This record gives sequence, C-alpha cells and structure tokens, in this order.
Amino acid sequence: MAVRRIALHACGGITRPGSTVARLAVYFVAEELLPEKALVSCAPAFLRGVEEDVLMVQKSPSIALDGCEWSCGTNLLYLAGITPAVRILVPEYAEAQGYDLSRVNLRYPSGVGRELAWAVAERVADIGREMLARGSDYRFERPEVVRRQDEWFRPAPNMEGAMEFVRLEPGVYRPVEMPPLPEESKET
Amino acid sequence: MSVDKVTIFPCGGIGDPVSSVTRLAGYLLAEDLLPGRVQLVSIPPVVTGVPHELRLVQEYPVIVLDGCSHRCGSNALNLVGIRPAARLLTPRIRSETKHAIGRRRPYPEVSGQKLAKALAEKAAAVALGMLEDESYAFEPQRVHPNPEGLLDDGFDIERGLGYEEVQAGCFHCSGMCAFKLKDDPEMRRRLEEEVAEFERLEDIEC
Repeated sequence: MAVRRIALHACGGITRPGSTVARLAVYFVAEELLPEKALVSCAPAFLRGVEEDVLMVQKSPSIALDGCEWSCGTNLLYLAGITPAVRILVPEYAEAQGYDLSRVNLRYPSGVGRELAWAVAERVADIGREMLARGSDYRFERPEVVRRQDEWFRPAPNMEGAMEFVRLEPGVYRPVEMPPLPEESKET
Repeated sequence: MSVDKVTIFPCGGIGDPVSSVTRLAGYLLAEDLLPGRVQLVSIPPVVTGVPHELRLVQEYPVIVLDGCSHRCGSNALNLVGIRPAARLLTPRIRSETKHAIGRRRPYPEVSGQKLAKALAEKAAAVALGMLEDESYAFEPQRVHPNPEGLLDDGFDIERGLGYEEVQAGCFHCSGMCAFKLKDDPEMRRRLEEEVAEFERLEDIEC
C-alpha cells in the first residue's frame, strides 16, 4: 500500500550521546520538518502494547534511529517481529558528517548534539518525503506482530545474526528484506 | 547491610512530554544530587540484553520512575524478571506538587523542570535510605524473560508487582526489602540553588 505516514522509532536510550541525538532528531522531524506525516513511536509504550504505538509501526514504515552499535531501536522492533524500512546508525553517520559525538551533552538539547540532530533529521526527512511523495512507487506491506521471546538477551552488536542490511551510505542502512528506497532506484 | 550503589530507571518514553520530565529527573539525581552513588539505566538495552545494563539491574536496587498510566518503566523491568526496589509514580507526585508536566518534548518547560526536581528530590530520599540505612538488605536478582506484559496493555502491572504506596507517589514492590526515605535538606538546596531553570530552549548553552 502507498505510504501516508512514517513512524520514527528512536532507540530510547538515555545514557549514550547517540541516543540523545536520535531522540532530538525524531522531535525535529515530527514537529518541524514533517509535521502530521511523521509519527513518534515510543519504544517502551510499544513494548507495553499500547495500541496507538503498536498500530503506528504496523500501519506505517518505520525508520529506526540507533544511538549506538547495540541497535536497541532496530532490535526492539525486531523482538516484536517488525523490520524497519530504514535504519540510521547515529555514531557512524556523525563520524561521516564530521561531528564529534563525544561533545554531545546527554541532558540538554544544545550545542553539537542539536546541530547533529538537525543533520540526522534532515536526512531522515528526505527519506520520508520520497516515501510519502504523491506518485511514489514505494510500497509498504503491513507486518504482523510476532513475539520473539526466544531472542531476548541476544547480545550481538549491529543486529549480527538477526538482520542483514544494504549500506546506502555511512550510517544509513536498509534491511535486505525491505523494499528499496526511492533514492536507490534513482541511482540505478 | 546498606548498598553502595542504586540505579535509576526512568520510563524511557519519547512520545509523551512526561517522559522528558522523568528523564530529566534521572539526570538530576545521577549527575547533580548523588553522582557516583546513583547510576542511570536505559530501558531498551535492558530488554535487548546489553551486558553492562543487565549487570546493573541485577546487582543493584532499581528505582523506577513511571511517567504515565501505562507504567512502562515498571513493565519493562517486569519483562526481564527484575523487581523494582522502589517506584515513583509521576502523576501522583504531580498531584502533590501541582507542577504541570507541560507540552514541550526536547526539554520540559519550567513547570516540568520543577516537577522533575520534585521527582529527583523524592528519588534521592529513597536512594539515600538504601545507601545509608544499615538495616536495608538487598539481594541481587537474576534476569529472565518474563512475557507477562509484552505487547499486552491489559496486563495489570500494579497487581503483578504488588505495589504498595508507602508515601504519596512512592511505592514498595512486594517481595523486596522495605526501605526508609531519608530526607536531606542539602538535596533540596542543590536543586534550588545550583540547577538552573530555562524558559526557552535557546537559553540553554553547554
């Protein structure tokens, strides 16, 4: 089906600078760059089974923003049987864009963290706009929720052994099982 | 025997502005009030099994800060079979203090910042009781997958964890050691005098 909204799924961490950046980037996209079109998926509420948060990632393609290599944004979706359309790995994207993640303040939305979050937000919004564009041939299949309890406590970074990705650029990945993004077909 | 460290586990949400309040309360407690004695823990890595975070919630008492009626902090901990040592329920603290949560998500408005301070002060009293009361006896726990509450908003987490309110907004979990709240005027002084409040996001410089 055609895409009407996108769901932004930040990792939800609070102890790593990449998580702060991921969270801020989600706010910038949802509140300023794609208001009404980008929904904020709440990781703990999703786990809790809050209907709004579960339907959000079932009815719209998800963009997962991972704050570190442990990939909790992507992994929490995976544990419920959901594969994101795109995965942003903030530390890798930051390095490629010339930002020093170690200068990000965990607590305050200011300084380098704010600047980097804007850069991430603009990249995410570009991907979202192309999915949402009138006439876009990007199609989204509604996934079923599956409880993968046997895969809890699987300590492998970057979803190793669970999900494979196409690397579109440093820090921007598409799971191989998900449809190519509009920008990929332009490139070919 | 008291403990040498306590962990704080804010609800970890992102969609509702109250989650910014609980998150800030966690930072206030771990960075400003009891640095080195309280450790912040994120919800997602506990559920996904990141070793460092798992070790923390197993070895030390966990104070959960639930932000709203969904009680995601408690639920997430329950999913991994860890019982909270204590739980603070933000809506109850909000009723007591009359500080509004506000609407802003990247960082709370001043009223939300005041509510975060109230939460942090209460959490500090709980943590100090665990850290300094010789009669507090905490037994380390072991994580185990506990599917109750996974993708099931109907699961009654209050009953599941047997919460009992010991003071307004502060709850004890059944099966865990009783704790005493230890109020310390120094905590309030620090919050009032040393932690700035920001009206506008643009005013924050760091």
